[in-house]
Amino acid sequence: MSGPWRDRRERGSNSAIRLIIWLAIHVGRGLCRVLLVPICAYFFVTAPRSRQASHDFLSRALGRAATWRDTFAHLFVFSTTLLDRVYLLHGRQRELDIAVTNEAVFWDALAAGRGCLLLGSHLGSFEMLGIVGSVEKKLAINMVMNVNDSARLGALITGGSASLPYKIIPLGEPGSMLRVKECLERGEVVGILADRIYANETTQNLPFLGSPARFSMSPIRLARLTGAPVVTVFGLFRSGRRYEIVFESVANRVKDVRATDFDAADGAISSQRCHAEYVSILERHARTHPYNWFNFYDYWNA
Amino acid sequence: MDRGLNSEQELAQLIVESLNLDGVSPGEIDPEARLFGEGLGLDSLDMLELSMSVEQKYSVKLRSDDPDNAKIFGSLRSLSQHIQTHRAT
Repeated sequence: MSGPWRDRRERGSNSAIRLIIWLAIHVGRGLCRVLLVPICAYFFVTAPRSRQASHDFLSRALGRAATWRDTFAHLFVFSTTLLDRVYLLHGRQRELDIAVTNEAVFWDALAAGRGCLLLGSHLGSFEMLGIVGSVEKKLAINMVMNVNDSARLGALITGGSASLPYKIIPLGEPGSMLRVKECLERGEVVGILADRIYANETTQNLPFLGSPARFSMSPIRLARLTGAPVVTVFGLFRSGRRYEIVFESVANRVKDVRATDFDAADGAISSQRCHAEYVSILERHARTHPYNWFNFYDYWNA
Repeated sequence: MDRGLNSEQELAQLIVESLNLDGVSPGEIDPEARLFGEGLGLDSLDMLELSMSVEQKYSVKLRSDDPDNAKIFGSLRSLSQHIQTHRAT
């Protein structure tokens, strides 16, 4: 399986990532961010398709024609979050100033005892979730991931010396989603990056920043099958060393609700409505924090 | 028709109904063909939905950590044999 973004990310990124990791640990964050400028300049010049994708996305999100400065800032934010991922995975979150908004929504959802399906995205850094998990040590967090990408990057970043603050549920095995259900039944958290299409699953076109884009129906179908509450989470880079983790409740439960799309008795909403809400929350945050968009490919024609 | 073939047919019916496989008739499913990925083209979400239907109908619980999963989920025939072996009689 190969998506356009996957090819892009493979491309020469291993050596750049290794370099950033070494610098992060040995040089310190301030100087590293200065060094990210020439690294970003290199990618700005040598990755025209990513540059074009960034320009297209930013023009939509900003509501004006994006400039080269916008695109450069976009790359800079992306590389900063990669850098900070190193600190997070090495347990050095004191380097960062992380605020959490609406955390109660998350704990309320968990309190129902049906686990929690956390819908994330490539808007911001999902690694931030490890912070919330580490606050309450008993919390078990699982991440559904394409194991080829995550294992590669995870191994690079931790270098085998640090451990991930979550368990990985690899996609692509017959029992992958069965395992998600078992985790939720134990009251655990399961995170999914719901803004990408991973295989030949059912998709739906929904309006996104001005024109329809294809979104996978799988995360919502998973929500309906498991009956778990659905919450969105975004780990957004703000500026300097500031990050904000934002939770929003989407549904207490997803089920086949006819006509009204809503069942007041148990706060359930339909799959269609849940999907539309996820995309509209994603769109709202994408407009507010456009430089956090880390899908560097033609999102509308992928 | 012996008991094995009967239960395979019944399971094929369950697959088509629970997964809403349009344009597939239960009799068309090759009992030896792979269910997951190539073959019938089911993904792991289909497998979850199918597992839930199997549990409801046969009271056989399929587990993600069963070391034999590759075999159990391998084909209609192997899944059917697993169900027949483990179902409450």
